[in-house]
Amino acid sequence: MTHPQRRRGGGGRGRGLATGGGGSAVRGRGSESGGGIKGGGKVLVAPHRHAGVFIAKSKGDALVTKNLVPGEIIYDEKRIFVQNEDRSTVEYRVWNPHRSKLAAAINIGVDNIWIKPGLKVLYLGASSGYSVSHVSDIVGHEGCVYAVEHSHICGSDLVNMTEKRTNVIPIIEDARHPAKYRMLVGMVDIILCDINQPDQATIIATNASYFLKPGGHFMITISANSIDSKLSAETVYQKEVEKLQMEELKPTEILPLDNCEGDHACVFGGYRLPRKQNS
Amino acid sequence: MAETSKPLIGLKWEPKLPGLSLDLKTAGSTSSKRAESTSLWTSNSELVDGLCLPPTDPKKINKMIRKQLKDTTGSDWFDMPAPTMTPELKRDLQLLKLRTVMDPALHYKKAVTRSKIAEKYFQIGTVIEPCAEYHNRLTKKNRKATLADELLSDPKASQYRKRKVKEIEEKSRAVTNKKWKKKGNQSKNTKQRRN
Repeated sequence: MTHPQRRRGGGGRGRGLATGGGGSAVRGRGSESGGGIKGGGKVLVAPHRHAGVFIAKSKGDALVTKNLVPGEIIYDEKRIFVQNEDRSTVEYRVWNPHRSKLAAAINIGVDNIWIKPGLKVLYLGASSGYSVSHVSDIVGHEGCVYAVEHSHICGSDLVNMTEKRTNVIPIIEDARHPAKYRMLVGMVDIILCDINQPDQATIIATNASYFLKPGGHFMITISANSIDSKLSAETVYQKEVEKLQMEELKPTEILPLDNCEGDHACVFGGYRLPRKQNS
Repeated sequence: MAETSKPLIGLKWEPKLPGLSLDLKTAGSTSSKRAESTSLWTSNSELVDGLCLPPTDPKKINKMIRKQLKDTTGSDWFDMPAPTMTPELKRDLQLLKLRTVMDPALHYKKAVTRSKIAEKYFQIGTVIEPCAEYHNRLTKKNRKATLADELLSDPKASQYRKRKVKEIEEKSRAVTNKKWKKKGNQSKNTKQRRN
């Protein structure tokens, strides 16, 4: 089990501290939805180590993505408006690590998220589309996000979101039966899976066999309570990893998400990776 | 001549004589440019590196092509341009590096290895808060032009900073023995005066 170094993290304290005054004596770094960043404030946006992701720095830091649809926000996130020297404007949206497990993983310090501009992504368990919107920001106009969500309530939010974003394709179907939406989805480079179901290993395996290209990558969020609440979190993660390995989904990183409530972990890995040739 | 709009520099050379145009296809597009300068002598703005003829050496051609490309991060970060460094920007960057000492209550985790991309390419922007966060926005007066101004104008931090600056100045000031400043009955001067 690889535990990558934790390079940065919001931590338990300092969560939800939006105002500058008062509060606890020791405040964590403002990596949580722009802790020290207020409306109207100035901010420096720099590229993150991961492609397509940026950091906004001022008194506190925030993870941001470049807004695919300038002027539109999904729920209530802050936006950062930049005017370049050649008078062109760019807009960035703040990515909340409490709402999105992928953002939490990036903040903790995952080695590689495998998502880049121009890639095709299959997102199982899209929910209302918050994380999906940020993935579609990263992937840009050349890329594509296939968002699968079973629930109709969340599905309607998802469809509303995709009306503005042309690179997201909403699929309101059960992810257990990829045959039902096989005509909508092409080959993808990455599968992101945020379904909290006990059989999620088989779900992602069948979807991978249908849609994921060999040499592609995946990310799964494992909620220990959803799979087996009696066992300890580490055992649950270990068991899930073994299930994945049997299905040719080779995990490369396992990241426990501390800043989420409950026992959650993120597993990143590759699918049918080419064997390393020993020269 | 060298066309700055296209990535390729003009690899053909034609004398700029009015009415003499071998290439009829591009006559329409370049006619506007030609209309600007119909004289035989070309100004410096139209030459690349002061050369009249494009170089034949492929290495030099590649070098000129590379010079004409914009300095951006590339497609991985959506072609973020590098800003022209002004003293204000330099101050902003400096202050961001020093934000660990600005407020004693705020602690920052150690920065990740400074990437070359992040040092060279960045943008300064303003935050637009959503309608629901009406409590979390700066007043009009508090909105400053630069990041540095904003970080410095925070009242809590400025109190701490002024106190610290005074302390440092006290320590670094040379020890002066200002005898004439001593007051009170016990000081030597007043004793002498009284007696």
